[in-house]
Amino acid sequence: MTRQAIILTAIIISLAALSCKKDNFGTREEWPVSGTGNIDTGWFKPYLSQSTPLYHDGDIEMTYSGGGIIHSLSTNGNICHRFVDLSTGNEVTLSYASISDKSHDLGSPTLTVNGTAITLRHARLEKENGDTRWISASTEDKRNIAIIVNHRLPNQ
Amino acid sequence: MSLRYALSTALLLPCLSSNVQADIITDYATGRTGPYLKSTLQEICRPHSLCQHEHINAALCEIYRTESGHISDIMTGDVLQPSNQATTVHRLIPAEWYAVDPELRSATDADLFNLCLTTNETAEIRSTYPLYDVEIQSDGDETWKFGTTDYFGDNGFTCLEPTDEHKGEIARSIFYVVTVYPAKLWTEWGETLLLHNGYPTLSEFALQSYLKWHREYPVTETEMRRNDAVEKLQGNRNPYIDHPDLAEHLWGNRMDEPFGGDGTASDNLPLHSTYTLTGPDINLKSPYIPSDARWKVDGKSVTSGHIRPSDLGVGQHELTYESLNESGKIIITITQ
Repeated sequence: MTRQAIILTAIIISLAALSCKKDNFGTREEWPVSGTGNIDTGWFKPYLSQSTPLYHDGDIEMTYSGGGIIHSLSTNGNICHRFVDLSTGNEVTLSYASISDKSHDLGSPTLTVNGTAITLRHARLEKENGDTRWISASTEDKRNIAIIVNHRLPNQ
Repeated sequence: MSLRYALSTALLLPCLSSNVQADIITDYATGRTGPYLKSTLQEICRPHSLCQHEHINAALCEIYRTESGHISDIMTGDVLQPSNQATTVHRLIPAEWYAVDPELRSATDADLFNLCLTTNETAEIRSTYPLYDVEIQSDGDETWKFGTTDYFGDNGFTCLEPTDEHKGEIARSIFYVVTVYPAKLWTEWGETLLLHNGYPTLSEFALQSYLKWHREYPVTETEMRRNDAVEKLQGNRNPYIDHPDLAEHLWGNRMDEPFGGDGTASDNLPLHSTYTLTGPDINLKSPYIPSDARWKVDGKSVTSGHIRPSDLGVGQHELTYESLNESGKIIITITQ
């Protein structure tokens, strides 16, 4: 192998290593710089196989598995999904005005966690199947949020 | 946001009946344990407003006035006569113990549950030393003691032991202060008794005295009247007076038991996560759910507001509801 080929190979390997991103939940070393449409939500893929309502932001996780979760839908103008864990008092509300047909971004998303409004960097509908919606979101401090809701709650 | 408001404004607050907050505690705290129970109390038991400093002395005179018209000194058990005696406002948890949070210092400096009246002399003796059981007495009299405890190393530490008559009341006030105002960092003698966390906040060492005082000197009618009086002035109540068992659930011999789950707190408990087959009924109500909700249990409509757990059986059950503007679902678990 010529010296030039060795240098070229080294450069390719370095570039490949640099392009690897850590996709661990809640942490991300590299973020796109413009437009919510460019945000990589690959971390959300494992959640697409789940259909039980959940909320997970890295600090708080709410699912029905422990019992005592109120999961509700309110439609006073905006669509509003709420999770309340009766064992801990943790309460999360996500409300939004609409969902873009083109980008699937949620319009005017508002997230409130235990009474504190959280500014979202993005909120997007990742998938919709019947009554269930899979929503990814991220905060300005780069935390990823997974939300699965039943748009119409079962047995109603 | 300033926590201080005029006393005159506080006096105009609607007088909440004592049962109102008692019900709030049952509604929100039922089924919760440890840090979640304490953070729930912190959230719902805050004062609605605080007295301005120039009005605190008058407010304390009202709170601690006895039937004979004198003022009760809960540190010494003496009767005070402010008109011809030098008295001062004294803090059970001194503001100096709060290291870095000026808002907590300010709030505890004005929250009437943390304040009492005592003589200048007693206040000077106690200074900011802890309230604790004295082993070797150097000052005081037959009813109250100042000296050192034999804990905390060979030499113990300096502390004041209040009169027996008011030890329970003082312990419950301290429980209230560390619940509503837990500091991330304590200094001075606060470091000896308190932990830099949201729960349990009280050290094992502190609990040795305070739980003992709480148990040996239960809530009195006088203390309940003072709770009513403070509520009229700042809009909140001390939950440890209305529900003395809260202290056992947070720090005592019922730490692993969810509050209210055994039905002792009320026979009309709100929905919570776990029930027992032979325990209290499942009441289809919650402070988180509209009161006009129509319910289905495991897919079947129900008209009664409560269900016996034995009618559903052991396992997980789906409760769904629908109201005018909201629909929702909750899964409960029934165990043996």
